[in-house]
Amino acid sequence: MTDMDMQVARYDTAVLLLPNVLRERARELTYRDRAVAEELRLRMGRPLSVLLPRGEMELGRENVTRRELELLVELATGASVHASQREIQNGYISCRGGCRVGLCGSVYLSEGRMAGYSVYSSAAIRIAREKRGVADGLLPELWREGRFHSTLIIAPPGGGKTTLLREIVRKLATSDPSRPGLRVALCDERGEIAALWEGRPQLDVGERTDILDACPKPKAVLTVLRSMNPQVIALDEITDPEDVAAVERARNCGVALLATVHAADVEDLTARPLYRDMLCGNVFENIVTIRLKNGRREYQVRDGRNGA
Amino acid sequence: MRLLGAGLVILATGSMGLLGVSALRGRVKVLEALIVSLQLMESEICTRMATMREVLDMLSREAPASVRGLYRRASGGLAALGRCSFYTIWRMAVEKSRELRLRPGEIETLTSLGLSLGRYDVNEQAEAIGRTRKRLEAALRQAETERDRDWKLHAFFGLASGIFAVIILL
Repeated sequence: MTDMDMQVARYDTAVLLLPNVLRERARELTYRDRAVAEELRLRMGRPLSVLLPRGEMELGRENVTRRELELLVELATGASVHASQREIQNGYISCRGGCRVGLCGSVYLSEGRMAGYSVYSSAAIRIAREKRGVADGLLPELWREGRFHSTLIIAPPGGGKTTLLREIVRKLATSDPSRPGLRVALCDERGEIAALWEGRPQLDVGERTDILDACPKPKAVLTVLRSMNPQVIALDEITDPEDVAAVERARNCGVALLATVHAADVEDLTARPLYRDMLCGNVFENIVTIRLKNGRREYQVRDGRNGA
Repeated sequence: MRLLGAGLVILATGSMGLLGVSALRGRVKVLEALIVSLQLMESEICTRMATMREVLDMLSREAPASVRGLYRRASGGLAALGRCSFYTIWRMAVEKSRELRLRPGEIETLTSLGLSLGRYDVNEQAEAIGRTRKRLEAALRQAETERDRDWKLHAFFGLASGIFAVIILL
């Protein structure tokens, strides 16, 4: 199966979340467009549309109805809104195949917090994408002296941090002729890295990866440390002081770390006191920055010790 | 020969009476089984946050045997999600489960549960399941009264009508 076939298969999986009539419309897209489609969008009273790299394109003329949006949620949750309640309160539903349905509409509150939607007005089905091989050139630099060195990935939002993190996790947790696979504990708070669905990762995160999803990062790090005897702990987006504290605690236990953080570059990161202290504490031995150059992503590795 | 005929007539009508008794007992058993299965359903949804597919699959294996068919049909019907709503799938499963021999009011009670299942948060679903259970418990009490009151009647009329027929025919 080629990369293109795989992307088309992911699109076809996402299409299964649509009610029948809309499914037919979505299947009318050309093979080439199905391979690059990023999202399917449903807005009540407007035709179904697909988001392609060249922009959004309407599919058919029939307008999306309220019932179709409700059916979409039923399909996405397997007619089990209660099982996805926590995600729905955050505005999305994780689905089979690694897709994610983002929701909009009229919300209702309970005890001052968003409890759910009384009416759905629009939905966006994000199609999962894997980019195998993006970490191939990078891994020898992160794996030195026979071990993996703690690594922090830095990039602005949309820079490809999660994709790179997933690929490094996959490579680390999979044996190859030169080294055995490591036990990686993946703290996937928002379910974006492995897209766990009914206990199975929908995206490939390697042979020896244990996934703890939907758990706040500080709690997740402690839990996997106590229960899973990991060699590497991977987590996405360090944002709070609690996240930093958990990461430092794990590092003191002798476990290698792999994490991401939002920042334009190292200088941007060190300008923020929270991260400056973390970098000065030599928690991460490698810092990988992602830059977009001529439409391609470039990765740069630098020494993360001594405040970078 | 006449005696043999008379015996067969009495046996036949007596069996009919016993069938009536068995139907009364069966109805009690089915209602008890439905109530137990709804308790299981509530625990699975509210405690384990299981999906409807998991709940229905579990009930079609582990619920009391007399009601497994209902859950098997509902579970099988989930393949039609997208063409129709969960409520429709549940309603059809209830309607097709004729072996339960439910009365119209009980069918309505069970059908309307489908309007809440999988659609709301756990508290709302727990309330809906609790309401359904209460109604079925009321039906169960009535069925038990009918069983205790009518089983002798069924047995007596079965035998008596046989004896009566024999007397007339002889």
